[in-house]
Amino acid sequence: MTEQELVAAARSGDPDAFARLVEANQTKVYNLAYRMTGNPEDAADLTQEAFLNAWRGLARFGGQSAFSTWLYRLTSNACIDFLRRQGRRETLSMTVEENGDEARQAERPDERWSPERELERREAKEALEAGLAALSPDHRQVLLLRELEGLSYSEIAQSLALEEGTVKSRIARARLALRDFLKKSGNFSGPPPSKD
Amino acid sequence: MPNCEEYELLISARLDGALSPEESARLEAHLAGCPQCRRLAAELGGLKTLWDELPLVQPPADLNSRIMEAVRRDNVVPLIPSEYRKKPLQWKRWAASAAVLAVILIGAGGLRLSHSGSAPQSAGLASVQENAAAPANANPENGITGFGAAAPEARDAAPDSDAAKAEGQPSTGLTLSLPPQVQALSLCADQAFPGWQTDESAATDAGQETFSLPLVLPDGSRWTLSCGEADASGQYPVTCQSGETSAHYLVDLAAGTVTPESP
Repeated sequence: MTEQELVAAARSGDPDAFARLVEANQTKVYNLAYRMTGNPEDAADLTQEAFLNAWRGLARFGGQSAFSTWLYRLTSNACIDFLRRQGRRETLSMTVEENGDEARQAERPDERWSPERELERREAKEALEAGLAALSPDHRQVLLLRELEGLSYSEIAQSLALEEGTVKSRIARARLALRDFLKKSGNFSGPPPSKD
Repeated sequence: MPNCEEYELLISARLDGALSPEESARLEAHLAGCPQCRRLAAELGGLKTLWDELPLVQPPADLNSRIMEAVRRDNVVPLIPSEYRKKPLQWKRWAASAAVLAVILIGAGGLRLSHSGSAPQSAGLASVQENAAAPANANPENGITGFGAAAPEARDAAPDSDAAKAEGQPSTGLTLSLPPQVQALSLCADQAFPGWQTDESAATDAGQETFSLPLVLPDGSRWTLSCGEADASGQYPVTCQSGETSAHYLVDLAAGTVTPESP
């Protein structure tokens, strides 16, 4: 069944069709929630909340966007609300060791592994996680949708109910903020040497 | 960086492949002459590669089943309480039926069936005889969910009811939280209109706020009894109307008396 057919079936109350939509989208949603909150338990809760809202709101989903785009909107809203309730700015706990190795190896099974490369990777990952934690939720959200989920400006605009121009400038500001933080914290080694 | 804010935006957009050819050309021209922007472009490019190092995290293995459990649980359509909310109209039906019960229970000398009414009420009456705690006539359709403390909706719909205050009358030993006006109506009906039955066919006036009890007598005549607020002496005035005929009574609940009075 195509996504459209699954959505139509789920909309008429078929939970099994919805289960397949969950299966197809849960990793993406979970990763967004995880990178927004930095916490696996919160991420799982927010993922569940997003899908439950999707189930309840299916009647409203008119198919104007891809199902995942709509799902990202629900997830983003849930995460932003959650972060606001927490009232925290630096919200990401640095869960460095928890999920790293297995996921990484599953992701790149063919690359040759070396200790130096591994260390570089870990440092880069930690640096980015620290940088994300320092961003405002709005900046973090828009950057994650672009870089992590690979959404286009137009898809992000749809997800967040923003103008495309706003998305474009918000991403630019988020990147600048990230760069500033990393430079300040000494995590950023600067651009690779190049001829000038 | 004077004037470079615009180019910062373009540098970022270029990373996403979102530049028009015109914008791209403009940016290239600017970069050729601006070391700061060239550095920024290099830095943001370096940032982009960081993202490659961010692993995709696997959700917990049971996440799907947790979600679907919540989804399936959610499939049950909840009862919408507002569908069963009592309107004043329905409250009066409740009051009339409760008045029937009041007649049975309040009347001096114990239980007696003074009328049968319609089937659901009879069934309720029978159960009342056996077990006073069981809410009789409990039926969302006629607005009864129980009496006494179990009828909060009835209380809500008739804000001036004294349901909470009215306790059972001494003769029965049962605790009933019927509003005194209801008790007054039933007492009056019993004493002034023996053989009465609740007039189920009577159209109830939704606009009325007073307690009322439509009756039909053995001779077929129909009356509407209305009870007002207690007067200074604590007695309840009941007005009985049948067409153009009316009669007035004062009901003393404590004494159990119904006294006719001139209008």
